[in-house]
Amino acid sequence: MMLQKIKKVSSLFFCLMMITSCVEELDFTQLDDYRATPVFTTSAVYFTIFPYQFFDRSGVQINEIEEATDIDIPTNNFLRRKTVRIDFNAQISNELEADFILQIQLLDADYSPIYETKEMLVKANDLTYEFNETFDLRSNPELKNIKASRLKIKNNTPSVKLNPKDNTKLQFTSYYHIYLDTDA
Amino acid sequence: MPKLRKIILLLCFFLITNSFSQKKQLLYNFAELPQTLLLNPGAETNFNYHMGVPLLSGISTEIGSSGFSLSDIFSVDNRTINDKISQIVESLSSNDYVQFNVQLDLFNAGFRLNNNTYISFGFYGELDGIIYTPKDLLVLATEGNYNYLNKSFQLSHGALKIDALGVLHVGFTKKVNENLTFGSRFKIYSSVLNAESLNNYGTFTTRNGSNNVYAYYLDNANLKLRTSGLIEGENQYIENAFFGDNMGIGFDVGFTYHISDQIEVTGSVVDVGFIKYSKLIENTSITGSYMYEGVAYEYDPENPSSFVELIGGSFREEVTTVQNEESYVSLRPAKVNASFAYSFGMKRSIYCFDNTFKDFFSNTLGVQMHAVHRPLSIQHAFTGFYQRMLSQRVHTKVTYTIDNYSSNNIGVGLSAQVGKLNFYGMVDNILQFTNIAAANSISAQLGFNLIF
Repeated sequence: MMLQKIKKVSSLFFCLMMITSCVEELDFTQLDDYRATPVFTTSAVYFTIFPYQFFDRSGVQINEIEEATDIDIPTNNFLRRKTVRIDFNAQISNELEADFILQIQLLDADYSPIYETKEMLVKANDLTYEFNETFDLRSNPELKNIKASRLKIKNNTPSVKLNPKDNTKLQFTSYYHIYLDTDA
Repeated sequence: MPKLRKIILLLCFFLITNSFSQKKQLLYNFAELPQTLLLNPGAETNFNYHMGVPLLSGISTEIGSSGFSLSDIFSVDNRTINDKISQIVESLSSNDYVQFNVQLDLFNAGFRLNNNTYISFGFYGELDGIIYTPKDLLVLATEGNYNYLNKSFQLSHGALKIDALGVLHVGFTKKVNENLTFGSRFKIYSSVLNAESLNNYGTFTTRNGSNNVYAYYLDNANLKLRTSGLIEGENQYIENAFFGDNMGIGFDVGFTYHISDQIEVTGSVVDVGFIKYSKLIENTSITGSYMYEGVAYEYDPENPSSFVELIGGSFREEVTTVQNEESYVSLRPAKVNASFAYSFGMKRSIYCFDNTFKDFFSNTLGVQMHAVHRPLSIQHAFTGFYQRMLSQRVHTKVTYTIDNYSSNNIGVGLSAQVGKLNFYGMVDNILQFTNIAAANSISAQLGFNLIF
């Protein structure tokens, strides 16, 4: 009698659980369609140039200077693989009386140029020059191997004599928008 | 009366100072089952000896997520997976977590030493873990910092603690007098693996810069991950569960006190202990502060082609990563249980282990409280229950629990004995059984014992 009662109660218990429990349709393969496209902003090159820097030791005005910097950014392979686009943005304030052309070369590990930006032509006394250029890494995958960059600054009006004691300056600031795509 | 006041004050203290969490609320103090002694070594029992069916005497699982459910992500509807995940990330808080606990009795037995003392012992394996959702890091990873100028991403989000261990235990339950039963249990922990990342802090912020357009601040970063038993090629998991290299000790204490024939209070503190990890260790810490404004060209007319700055190099100088194998101590997640119960209804007699009879009431109504100490907070739950003895051998229990997961958790439990064989089974959150995938938590316990 007791055994039957227990059987009945425990059977009812499990039947109730089995009958009432259910799970709505789930589709775990949806994860395959997940695509994250974060955009990171990171500072790039900045510098300030004064007129005296356009003169050599003997005091002769030079019209083109260049500087290079290693870029040992601690990014891992995942980030390098998933970067699909980089927007380069620069803001230049030119207080000098000369026009300048600036250009950035992106270099590989052997310091060989991989890519050259368009020329930035900054007129004399232009304090609000802005420049932007988009690097499409899907069509230029070699850009993922950047190890250094070289900046060229050329006086586009060499007839204008600069005063090495002048405190006017050319200020350059820049940043990148880096677009990642987990589907890349 | 003073005793009663003290007890009520103690209960109020637990209620106010701790938040109590859902944890085996159905099994606690249920039907004088041997397994209740693992939740309260001071629980009353009414048998001469017991033996759990090996591997089947106690199977307990609990899984929960305070911030989302499976159906929130994987339900088949018209929303894209990106929209679903974005919504979840947005709604999460840094205190949301995913938690799991699996406990399996390998063996469990006990015997009555004399009329007043019951000895119980056994060995169980346990997998216990909690992973707090790293909300800010998820936002940073999925959206980037582009739209978050001046927002300080908190590195403290994302704490975790995962333990797998074997526990050998022996305890006694002593009836001090007609009203009070006291018990204690000694435990030896043997860790299979441990991973914990606790007390992290620091921020990452993007701001307008002074030299460049933007500046990036990694302020006071302190990230730690300690692991033991996870070294590749050292897969001695089973061996480590039985007196392995990383051992610890702990204890449980508990009591049952009858204020009157009909009113009973119980309380217990479980898993007060620690494990010392000294082998198979891999620890990593990242500390430091760093400010980055970009690459500064420092044109030098005397040396026009120098490569002057290494971004990665300066970062590694300021923010150091240290890996070591230093031993460490980790506390077990201590739990506090308490209950207050009122029995009523028809008075019957129950046959006791010592061939005597005692009176009992077939209905019990009460409240339970449970708290467990977790890395970022104390989790809490408050349970109301109704327990009914259908006969001396068939017990049922219904619970209503309010906890971190929900405020409408109803659970049911059954214990039945056929001859010497006892079976018990219990599940909670039955309102979610119409769609388990939408439940934030599910827990179940079942087991078989031979009770004499």
